[in-house]
Amino acid sequence: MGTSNEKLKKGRIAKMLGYGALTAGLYTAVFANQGTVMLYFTKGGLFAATLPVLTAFLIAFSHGGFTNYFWQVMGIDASKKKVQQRRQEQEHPVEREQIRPQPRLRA
Amino acid sequence: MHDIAQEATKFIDLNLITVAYLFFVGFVGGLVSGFIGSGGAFVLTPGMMSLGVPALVAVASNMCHKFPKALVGAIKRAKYGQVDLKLGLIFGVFAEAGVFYGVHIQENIKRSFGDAGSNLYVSVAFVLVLAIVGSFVMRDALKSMKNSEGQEEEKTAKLARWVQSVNIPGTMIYFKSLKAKVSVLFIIPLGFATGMLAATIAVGGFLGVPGMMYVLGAPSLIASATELVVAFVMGAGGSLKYALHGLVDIRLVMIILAGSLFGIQLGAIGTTYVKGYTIKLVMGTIMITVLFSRALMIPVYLSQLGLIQTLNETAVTWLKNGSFAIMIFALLLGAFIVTRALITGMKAERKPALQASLKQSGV
Repeated sequence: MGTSNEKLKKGRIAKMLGYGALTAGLYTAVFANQGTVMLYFTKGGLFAATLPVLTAFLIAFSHGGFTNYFWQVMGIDASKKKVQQRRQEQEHPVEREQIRPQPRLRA
Repeated sequence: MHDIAQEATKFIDLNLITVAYLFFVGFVGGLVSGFIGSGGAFVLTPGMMSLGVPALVAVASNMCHKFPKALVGAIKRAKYGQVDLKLGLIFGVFAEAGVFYGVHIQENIKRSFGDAGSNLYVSVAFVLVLAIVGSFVMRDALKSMKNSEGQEEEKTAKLARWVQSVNIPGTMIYFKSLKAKVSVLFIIPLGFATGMLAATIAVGGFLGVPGMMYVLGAPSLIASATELVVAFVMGAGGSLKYALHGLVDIRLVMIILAGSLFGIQLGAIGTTYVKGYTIKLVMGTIMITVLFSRALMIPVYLSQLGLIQTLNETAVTWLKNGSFAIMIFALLLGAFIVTRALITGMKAERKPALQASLKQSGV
């Protein structure tokens, strides 16, 4: 149990560092070349418009991944009780009482 | 187009203080958004403008930071089983239409009445929506707190029960989160109004989340999480629109995201430790506080339009600074409630395990 917890923690740290490196690379690339980036990203038109949008998606992936594992490595994670409860509710949903009157055929 | 081109050339120089300020505001905004599904954006636009960023660039950059933040938040909350993707996407499509129409109205008002007229329109919209919806949400939160006593299941509002009972053939869609079929004819105006509000005051969620809760009958945890999907759809479309005119300052977007992606993860985690009424409490608190912030600016715009006696410069400065300070306070107050809820919840969950391990080690 202890070994598997340690493996899990090491795995999270490795992923955090991996995503962190990707994020650092992205930020360095943009801010070290601010002038060129702003020139092309603010040109307007359809091609140039995709540049900031794609960059934002890339950051969502890399920095989103980094921050996800960061909080886990810090020991801050979701309530296991509530998440498990919700998953059980989704697997076995309680039937809602009928709100609409059901049509009946009178023979 | 000439005005827009002029705005686009006024990108600010960045320094350490600017970066730290945007990172911090981004973090706090993300924390609140991760919890209630919206709410950070209304501080960011005026926050950026206070640094000298032109209004259109501030709105565009805010929009471009919103959709990746909402994407990350939605994915996180989907892992906790809180997102109704079908509801979010359908709602989002009509919200997007509302955004485009809302921008069109804004442009017409600005053309007819200038900046002061546009600002007055935005402030009145703020005050009306926050007063009506905010006080309703707050009242419901306080009522739910009193009645909670171990109850996990939230009661469906009367209006939502009626909406769920209406059967319009050919328009009915089943939503898992509602455990019921609802006509898309109810979702269309709700989504559209959310988008219009987003285009007007930058926060569609102040209508979207209460709309999903009280009109459609979604539990507050689901409504606030699903709103992140709506925010993603609105933000992506709006960002592309502004980027076509070269108005997005990607540097500002990246600095705000650096902070907000930390915050949104934390806010999402916080929702797993609270009951539904806490979401309503945070939302109601922020809405009521921001209401006062915007109400302070109405005399300024009325004075600029000549509709009341002209206010002197000192009075205008006091009102503007007071309004900004209350707005920051609203966000910090919301963040404080979220952080406290997270810490209290984590301590309560870990206490039994800690006590057991202490007992084992003979302490």
